[in-house]
Amino acid sequence: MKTSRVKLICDTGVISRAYSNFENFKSIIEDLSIKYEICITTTIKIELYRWIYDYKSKVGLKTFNAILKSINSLPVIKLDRKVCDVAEKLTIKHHQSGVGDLLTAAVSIDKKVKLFTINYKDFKTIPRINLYLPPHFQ
Amino acid sequence: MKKPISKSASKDVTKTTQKAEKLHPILQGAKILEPYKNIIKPYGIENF
Repeated sequence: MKTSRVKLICDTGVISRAYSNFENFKSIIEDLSIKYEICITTTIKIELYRWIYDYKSKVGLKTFNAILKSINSLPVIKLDRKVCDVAEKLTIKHHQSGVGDLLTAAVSIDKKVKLFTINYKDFKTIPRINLYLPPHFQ
Repeated sequence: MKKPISKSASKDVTKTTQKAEKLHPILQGAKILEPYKNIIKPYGIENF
């Protein structure tokens, strides 16, 4: 029987650091993947696509497509009407935050899924958000 | 007397070992991008 693991959203900064071969982020992903189902949101997926697209000419089509395949294999928590409602409420007080950050925060709040981000300081002022801070970062 | 390990049980062990060895897709991606690690910067860091 397949056991379901707890979902954890990893932000674009975290995943792109692991992809970029930052050793500490690779080992964090390795550790987290044992306990959690590492997820992304629609906005994180878009950001990852945009990020790797900037390197398409440098890494070549084959590598570029392999990374897209890797990104596509990550489970995505979609934006829905409720998430958008939460994001709209958040923007009243956090209008200086980026669109991607606000939507990801809204997913985390509405779906009650922990969020692991390197922008801990920016997110921690958002009420009801459940941030994950790995032991390495504490 | 110890019971010999059944064929199906030994298959299960092999399956589990293979599963444990299988890299997470993000780590597979990192492996693919390893030759480019000096030119690739994480998201949000300018690519200059």
